[in-house]
Amino acid sequence: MYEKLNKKARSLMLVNEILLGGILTLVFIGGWFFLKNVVEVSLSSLWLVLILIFCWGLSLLAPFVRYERYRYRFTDEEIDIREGFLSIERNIVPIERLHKVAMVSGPLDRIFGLTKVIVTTAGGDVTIRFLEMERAEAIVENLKKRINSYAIKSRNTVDENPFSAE
Amino acid sequence: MEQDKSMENGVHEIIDMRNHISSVLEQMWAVLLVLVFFFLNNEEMLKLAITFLREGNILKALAAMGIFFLILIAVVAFYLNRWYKTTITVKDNMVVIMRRTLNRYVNSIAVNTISNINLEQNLFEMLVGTYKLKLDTSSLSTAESTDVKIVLSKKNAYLVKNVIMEMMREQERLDKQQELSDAVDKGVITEEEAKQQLLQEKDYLEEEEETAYDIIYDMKEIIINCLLNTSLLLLVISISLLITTIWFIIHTFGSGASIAGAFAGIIVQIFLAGSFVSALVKGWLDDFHFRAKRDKDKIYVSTGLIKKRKYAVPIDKINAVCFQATLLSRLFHRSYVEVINIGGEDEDANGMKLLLMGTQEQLRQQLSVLLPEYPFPEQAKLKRQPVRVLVKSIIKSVLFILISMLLVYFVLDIVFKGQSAVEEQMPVYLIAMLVLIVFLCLLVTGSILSYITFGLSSTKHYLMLSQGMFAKKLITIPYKKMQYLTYRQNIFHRLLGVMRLQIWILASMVSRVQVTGSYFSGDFDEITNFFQKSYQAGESK
Repeated sequence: MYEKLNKKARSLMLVNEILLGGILTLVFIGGWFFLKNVVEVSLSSLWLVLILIFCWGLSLLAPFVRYERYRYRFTDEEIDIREGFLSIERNIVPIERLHKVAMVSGPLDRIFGLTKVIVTTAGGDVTIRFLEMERAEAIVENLKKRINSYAIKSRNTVDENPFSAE
Repeated sequence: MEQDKSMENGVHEIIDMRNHISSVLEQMWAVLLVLVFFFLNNEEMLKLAITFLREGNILKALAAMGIFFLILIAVVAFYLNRWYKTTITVKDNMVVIMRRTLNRYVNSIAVNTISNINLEQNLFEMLVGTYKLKLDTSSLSTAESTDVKIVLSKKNAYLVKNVIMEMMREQERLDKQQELSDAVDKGVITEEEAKQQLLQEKDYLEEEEETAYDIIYDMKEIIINCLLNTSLLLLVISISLLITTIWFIIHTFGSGASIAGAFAGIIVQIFLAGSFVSALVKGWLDDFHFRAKRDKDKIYVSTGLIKKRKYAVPIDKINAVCFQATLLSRLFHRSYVEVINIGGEDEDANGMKLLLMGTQEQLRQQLSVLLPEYPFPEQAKLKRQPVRVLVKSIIKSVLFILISMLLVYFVLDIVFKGQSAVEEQMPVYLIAMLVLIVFLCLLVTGSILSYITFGLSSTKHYLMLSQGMFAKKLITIPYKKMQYLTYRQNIFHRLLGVMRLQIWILASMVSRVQVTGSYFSGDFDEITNFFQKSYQAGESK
């Protein structure tokens, strides 16, 4: 059964997008002035307005789409995450192949009481974003237990081998 | 020596063994070169020292070169100290590299994490008679580099290698021991015979290089391999340069033009063609006397002329098998085989060569000896991407070129504004458009080749996928070696109802993620199913 994110996640996504949109707006305006005044290219201001409207439209739409699309699922054997806005991504990570579990919170995450869980396999990392602190702690605890149980299981499999005992 | 005694006594461990002393020279030759350069450039000091030497006053001559000698002594002392205080210990299934210098360093590696053991020898080491022993572990953090490098005499290099390998083969040894013990109990063999058999097992390891290889390439095969490994583009450029050089010579001598000028031109062209020749020579030197063999759970490969390399790759540490073909080799229906396992560096970072260029039939036969665990990928069974993917790719190329044409038109319009007559501007516009049309043709050709090359196939335990455009890569990955899967769908994919699959494995940066072509989501169901079964069934990593 897939789980949905808490509504606080949408607000955090929105704040992230507004910050990113603000930075991009400054870059665009700076570039525009450079082209117009330094390079002296005759460009209509309408282009700048259209580009900014397009970018801001995408930025403000993205959190709602991403929030609706974001789903994650933990089973006994795997973690399954679906996410994306323009590009959709689904990750399937076997718990058996996990090496490390980490919980990371940035300043914005902390303001909203959210955090990320990063699971590491021998092939790379997968991040489960925008999780509530308590939920993330429960996930990490559960994953740690599962990783340990796999380690014990694999050790016992070796010990059960009659040739491994001298 | 302590370590020799250890082997004689049957205690398989190495205690505090140092690098060979020649490694000091090997490490500091670059610093020495800088110092000599500094010394030769310091004319005053040199003249003074020579004057004192002519007067027969050696002490004064040395004093004149005081700074130079102080630096030299400091450098030599630094490297000697580091050499003296760096030791390797192989004990209790651990390899411990310890450096007791000002910056203490202890690197402990569990033997069971070692993914390959390589012996290398460069020209200098060949002259001195040493080997560089390289150990790599199955760790993502050291995927791009070698974990341990030690320079040892030939005898010690083999000793350390064998001790580590013996620890790795502990399970097999115990198995054998149990088998012999049973045989002794039943009275099939005597205790002495059992001991001898066990010793033979050890002797075999020590003399590993002397034993027969399963696959040995002759000179003709190695030369063909080098030729087919070269880039077709580089070959075309080199042939064109050769033709122009010949034309240049004939033209210069025929017209009586400056011979010096002609030689300068020829030298430039030879230099340009040099990269092709150097690639050929390097390939030949690297693959010289290439041979491979399978022994129990490991594959042994030995290769190289100037730089001799010997790999020992445990089968269970192989994460994928890769058939590679250049455009040239594709034309001759040949490819070579690499194994992707973690930790190699330089030329081995992305995969270690297992077999040189061969036809499908040759490779099938050779792999059945070296790596029978892996199925031989059948080209015919690989599923092509849906035709709509090709159509999308061509439409994307056409759109890209149309937008580029518009941009070029606007840019040229801004550049030429009020500068010259329309008739003068026309050729520039035409050339720009012609270049873009040629580029479009290349893009469309690339799309078609890419469509032909990409393929996907699956069995219960292995996924086979091919990638590429001009060159081709066909990879076989066991499901149990896949670390995780990522399905990706961008806007265009969604419009077409297709997606791509990324397979993450334990490998260097370049090989870590293997990407399939674009297929319908239903085409990946079977793959997802097999992948899930690989860990639901509790198969090991």
